[in-house]
Amino acid sequence: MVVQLLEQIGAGIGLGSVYALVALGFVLIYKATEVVNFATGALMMLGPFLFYSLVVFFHFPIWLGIAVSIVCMAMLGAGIDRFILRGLLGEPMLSIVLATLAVGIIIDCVAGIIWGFEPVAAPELIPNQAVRLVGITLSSAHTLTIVVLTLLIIMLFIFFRHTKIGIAMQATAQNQFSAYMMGINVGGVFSLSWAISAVICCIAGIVLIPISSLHVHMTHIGLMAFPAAILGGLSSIPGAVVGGLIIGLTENLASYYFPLIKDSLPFIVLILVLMIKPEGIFGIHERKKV
Amino acid sequence: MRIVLKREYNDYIKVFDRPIKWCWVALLLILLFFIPFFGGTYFLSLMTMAGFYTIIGLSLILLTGLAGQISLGHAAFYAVGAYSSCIFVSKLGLPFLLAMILSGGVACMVGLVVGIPSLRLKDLYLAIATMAMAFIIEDVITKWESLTGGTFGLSVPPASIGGFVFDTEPKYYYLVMVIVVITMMLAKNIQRSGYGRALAALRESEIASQAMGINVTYYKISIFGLSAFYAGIAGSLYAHYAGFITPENFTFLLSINFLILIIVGGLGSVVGAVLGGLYMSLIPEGVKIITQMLPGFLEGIIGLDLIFYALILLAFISYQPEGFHGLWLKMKFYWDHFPLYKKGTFRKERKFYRKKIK
Repeated sequence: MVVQLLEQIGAGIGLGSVYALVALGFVLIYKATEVVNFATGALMMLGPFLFYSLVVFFHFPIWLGIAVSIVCMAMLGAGIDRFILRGLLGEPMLSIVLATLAVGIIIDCVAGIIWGFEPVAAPELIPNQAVRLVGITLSSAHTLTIVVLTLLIIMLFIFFRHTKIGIAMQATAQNQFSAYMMGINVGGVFSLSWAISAVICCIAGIVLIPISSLHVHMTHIGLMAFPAAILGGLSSIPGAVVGGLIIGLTENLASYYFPLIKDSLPFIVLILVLMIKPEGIFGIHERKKV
Repeated sequence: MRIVLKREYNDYIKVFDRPIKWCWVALLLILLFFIPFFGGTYFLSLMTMAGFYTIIGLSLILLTGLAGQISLGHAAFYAVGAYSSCIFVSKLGLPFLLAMILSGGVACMVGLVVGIPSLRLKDLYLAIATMAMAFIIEDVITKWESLTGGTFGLSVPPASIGGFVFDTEPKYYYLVMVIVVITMMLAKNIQRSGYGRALAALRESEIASQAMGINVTYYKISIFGLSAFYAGIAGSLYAHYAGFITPENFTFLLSINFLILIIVGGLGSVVGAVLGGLYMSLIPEGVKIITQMLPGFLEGIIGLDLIFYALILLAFISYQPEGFHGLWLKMKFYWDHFPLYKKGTFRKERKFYRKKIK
């Protein structure tokens, strides 16, 4: 019984890691540019499809396929920022939400036209076998997502703390005007954060392939990242990780113990948390001057 | 140049600033009345759809345009209205008119519950919370099979008032138009009354309006309820028109469509809802014409129309964020000031993005 529970928790954390990654991508863009990126799910779906095409049709080795799709996604992310959202700086939030939704719809439909709306057989990323860890069994796919999330968090931590560009990004997130005055290329920082976010989404999508099948409706999985990001507090990177893990855990435990409400339980948890703490778990209460 | 002088308080709360506008309204009503005589059945069905969309647009213009609250879950209120109206008529045997108002009431109740998070949440948090609520409501509708028929859907009897059945296209058209006109009058009056101006103050600054003695809690919750009431009425009308509803009619994409409607129509005024409603019902036709002009190999591809919608939306947000209504105001301004119009009048101010101070 306890072992079963632990195994469910492990699988939940595995799934939650993917949500956490996508939420990370979401929060990075929000922190840097205050744009609410509803195209996150679409970006997450596009990355693995690029990877799939490169490996299956162009016979790239897997590592090269991953690398090339990451580079393509980074360029796409920066391009979206430069050519669509840069002109919308300072517009009301509703406009920006709808603009990113439109971008997401376009990516979705183009992907659907190219690859079809049915699931496709993706190349095998890692052999499907069970991993035994201190008495509980986890599938290799879930282990992979947890490892990738941990590695990415460490890399992001080093990037933000110890590189010049990372610190410039932090400064921009704090106060754009001052950052501009200090000679930071604010536009470049915007594009860079979009690129990083797209890369993270791409990685999230690729490690998601063994868990869910590869199809255009993966975008809906990306939709779960918004509750995750909100749950943790929008402007907090640790919050995104914790929020993603919580959403993944609730979803997995609910599908095991309360299958009737498994689809809505993450949202119920979200609303309950927001009722108690409106700015999310790690969010900062922002005071507004009148 | 036409400048309307405002001398006293009553000048500010007039329905129209110039009396000639009443004539335009009368002309429009006459036009609406005669459309069934020269429009075909298909055109009438488009106009009826535009009517549903207009009511939804009014609901969102009150919520977003007037009170500044954002809802990503309006399809849920629409769905609640549609389902409850259907259940009232077919399972409880209530007359249609009563069922429609009651279903608006049910949607209003749901809206009041959704309004509670709006007390503490702002902007994006509120948007995601309403989205979460919409997903929960959608899930409940799908799972509660004994009442809603689950994914198999429900068939809805045609609307009838006192034995008169609205079974043909022109009959239903008149029914919808009467309700559209009533809801529009209500919305216009809400906008200019004290209630509406309190909401506008709330939109501009919550803290400042609180300091002016506006009961923020009451206004925020009640506007959610009112907006949901409108959406419920629209849903009820839609259900009786379509004759068959399933949860797939009320997805997240529909909520987004509603937001697109008010952005394209123009957020600020009642006219925007009408223009947005017309846009939403006519745009599939426009896209069909565009697709026919494209080279043959693109024909019949699923998803092409959605790409067009998204591109049109992006164009609107980037170049004309005030929508059709804003475009109309600009044209009017241009002719009013004809020789004196300056090029940069409507140029956007360049803003720095982050407005909050930590």
